[in-house]
Amino acid sequence: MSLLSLVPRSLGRVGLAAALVVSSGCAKSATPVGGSGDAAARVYVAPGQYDEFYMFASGGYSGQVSVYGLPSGRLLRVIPVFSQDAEKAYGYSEQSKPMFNTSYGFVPWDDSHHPSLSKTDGLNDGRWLFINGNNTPRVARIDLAEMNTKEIIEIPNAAGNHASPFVTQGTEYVVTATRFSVPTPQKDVPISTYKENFTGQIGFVAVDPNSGKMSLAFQIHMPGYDYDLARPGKGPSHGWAFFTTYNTEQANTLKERNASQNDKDFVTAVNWKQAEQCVAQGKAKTWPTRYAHNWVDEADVAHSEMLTGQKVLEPADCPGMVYFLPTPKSPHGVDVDPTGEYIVGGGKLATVIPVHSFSKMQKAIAENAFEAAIGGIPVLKYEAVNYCEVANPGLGPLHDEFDDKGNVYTSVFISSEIVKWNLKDCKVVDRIPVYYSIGHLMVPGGDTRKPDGKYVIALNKITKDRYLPTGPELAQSAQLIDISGDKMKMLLDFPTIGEPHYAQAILASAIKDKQMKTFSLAGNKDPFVTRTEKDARVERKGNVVHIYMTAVRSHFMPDNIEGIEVGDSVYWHVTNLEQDWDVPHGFAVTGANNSELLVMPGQTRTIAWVPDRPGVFPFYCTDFCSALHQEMQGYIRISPRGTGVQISFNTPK
Amino acid sequence: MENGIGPIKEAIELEKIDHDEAEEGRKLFEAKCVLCHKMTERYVGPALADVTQKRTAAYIMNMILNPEEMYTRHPEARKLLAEHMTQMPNLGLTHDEAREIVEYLRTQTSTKAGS
Amino acid sequence: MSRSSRLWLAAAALSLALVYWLPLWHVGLKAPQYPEGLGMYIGVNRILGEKPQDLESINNLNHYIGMKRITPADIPELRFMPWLVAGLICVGLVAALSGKRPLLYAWVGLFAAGALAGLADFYRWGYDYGHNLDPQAIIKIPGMTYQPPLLGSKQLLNFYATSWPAMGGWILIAALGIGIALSLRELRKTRRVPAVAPSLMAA
Repeated sequence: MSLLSLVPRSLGRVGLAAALVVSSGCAKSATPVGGSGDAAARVYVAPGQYDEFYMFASGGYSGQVSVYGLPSGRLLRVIPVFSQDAEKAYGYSEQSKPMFNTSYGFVPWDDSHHPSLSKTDGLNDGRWLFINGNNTPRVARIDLAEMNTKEIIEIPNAAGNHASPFVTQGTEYVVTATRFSVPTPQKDVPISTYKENFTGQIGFVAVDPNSGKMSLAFQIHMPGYDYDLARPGKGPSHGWAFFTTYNTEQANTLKERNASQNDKDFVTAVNWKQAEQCVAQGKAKTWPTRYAHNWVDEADVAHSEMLTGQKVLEPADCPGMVYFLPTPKSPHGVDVDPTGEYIVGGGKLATVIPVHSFSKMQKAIAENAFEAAIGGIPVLKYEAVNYCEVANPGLGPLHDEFDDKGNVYTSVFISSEIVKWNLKDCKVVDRIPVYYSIGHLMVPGGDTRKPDGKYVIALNKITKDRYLPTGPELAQSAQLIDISGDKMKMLLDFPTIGEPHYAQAILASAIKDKQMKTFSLAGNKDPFVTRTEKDARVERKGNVVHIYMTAVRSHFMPDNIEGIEVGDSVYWHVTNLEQDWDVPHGFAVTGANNSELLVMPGQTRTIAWVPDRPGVFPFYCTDFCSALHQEMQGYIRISPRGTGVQISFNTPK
Repeated sequence: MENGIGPIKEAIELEKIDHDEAEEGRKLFEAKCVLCHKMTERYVGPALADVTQKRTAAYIMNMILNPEEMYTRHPEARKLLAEHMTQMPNLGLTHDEAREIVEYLRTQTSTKAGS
Repeated sequence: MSRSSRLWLAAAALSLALVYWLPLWHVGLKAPQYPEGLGMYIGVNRILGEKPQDLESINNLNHYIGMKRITPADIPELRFMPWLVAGLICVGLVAALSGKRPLLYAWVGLFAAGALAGLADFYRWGYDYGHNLDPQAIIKIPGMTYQPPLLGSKQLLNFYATSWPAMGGWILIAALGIGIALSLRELRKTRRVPAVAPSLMAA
């Protein structure tokens, strides 16, 4: 580049001045702010009124699940799942610590991506919410009446459990898959031997229809690709599950480039009913890998067991179980429409959105329309399974959700928009910009047989200037968009905690009245429960001291404890005797190396404490419970080791 | 006013103390009331030894069954709230359970307290 | 040349010195996820980002589509352009001091030729950057090339690219404009006085 000039323009001074004024180019007019006229009325929930929907959003790298009300976008609760939460003593109290056990030991954090509501007959039934842990592969089950995590199962033979835990239409199974193929089972090999040694798995976790208890039913040993996302079929395609599969290049380094070379990768179609049959016929091999299974029992106490010996099927041993459907290009999301017939791929680096037809796929299988086979898995011909390609969807289409009118909403990352098209003619009918760079989107019930065609939520990755800035780290942004009309209208922009990768929503009316208000004190089966103040006591067993304590407005019993020595292991078992709604009590003691306790009415929680110096230390209630909350405190006296001071405590008269 | 505000609309005629009922009332009292009430001294709530002498049975039952409204509208309850700074919660007791507690309290006058 | 012409010529030539400080050209990029925009200022001897980190950001984004990195050290024009400008200033000042019309015409001619050469060179560079893409690029859109506009604006994937002169560029345009205007004025003067003695014509 060098000197510039234009063809001689203005010859007079006026012209010159004009030229100087038109300086440094005309920029495109600023992007529209994005909000429509009556939006405020649509999203305002008046004081005392309730939101219409519960939205459960994954916390992403926070490891939790957040609960929002729609349409107001208000945060209602953060349910702790995979990350320790000192506020709720989740992962610190003795009753909850076992939930974090894995074959790698105590893992206090994970990356939770995709919530999936339990379904009956293809509709959300409001019993449980399942969510995956991506880093140390796990699946968790949350009870929706209590909104707490009740069970976590580790997934063996996987690395990066991303295509998970999407629920089949009758909650028969929750699916899992390997995102980063690794030597399966693990062994020490050079990384460059990826093509020879690295493989993946696609797994099915069975869910007991009554208790919700999860168990690893079987896994399928798959070629060494990356299995990104999944959707079980519904209706006619019930019995099948579809997984996007990229990195068919089998690259192990600089995958950004090396996994993006092939024109087409796959959607893997798994016939799990066929897999069930093969397992029943004894065709599965048993692998000895260890994995943890943790659950909360009826006493609200968590337990952990180590299991081993999961069943693994090889595709070559079970024909008819797995097929590859070619799909452009490094596809990310895969979604099945409400009728169960259309399988939409999110071709992340493609210029079209490919839609496969389930009935065409069945026909192609019957007619053996294969173009190749990989490891015993037939690759069907693209033309034989493809229904249509949506042209000009935008740059970087990722995920699709559906409404009740045959429309599909696709999130498009690079051009930062949601694109609306119809399955009848596969043509784009509307677009709306979102701010900025959308990942997933969610229509309440959008993955069920009967979506609710009112809203779509955009879950974005880049926030920049959407809200008041808060230093370098900003909350992720989400937008609520009205889809009830022909044109989409933006209604609300609200920040979210962590990074919501995906969300699920259910009508508030479905679960609002089933919410637990208190735990029953009479039904409390905790082994360390103290049911009345008369039973409150302190007991010493060698170096271990158990304090059976009650909490009620506004005092602890006992609240003066003596006879503890430096180095004792002290267990505070605090039972909240209230049976009234929304009266939790907290508990904290000086210098505790773990956390506080937050005890709900009727519940017992235990925290361990090791005093390290003599003196008298206070403990107090941390959750404002009553007018005399400030007085709700006590003292514990710690004597030097071996001084033999007798245990004593005050009792109610 | 002397009968309180709540589901008990008429005065209750008290007859001879029924000791079986009083025993049921004692069990309930020790499960639910003893957290905040002692007999002869003020605790979280007022001492209850002579409450049956000071208040009618209907008043006591309405206090047990309908505390929220009592605190908003009854002058006596509001006085106690100002004194104790704590509201008695609604423990979800039935009509019969409240009656049994009253029967127990009748056995707990200051001369007989503790028996 | 008339006195006023010589003064104008001197002013125009001296004004060229400003391009050592003021940028010549601005290339801007706007995309939905870059509401604050990205931009590059091309100066006579350097390329800078509009915000300090913009050049790095532009290079990072370009690698997805297989474009080469913009490294100022690899652009030879940035080394000899300052000399060209220096030369132009000198010739212009000499022409102004001497008052000789042929020098004025020469200056304008050099200037215009240089400008056109510069534009052609800019176009060639833009063509090379936009067409010679890495065959292993991550995002490959069949048939798509990313040649930035020479002048004006153009949509490239999700980016709206603009290319316009910056302050220094406008000064160059103005200086050339002045030179052309002066030349025309001088030409008209010589034509209008046909009876002038040949010796004066040679001035």
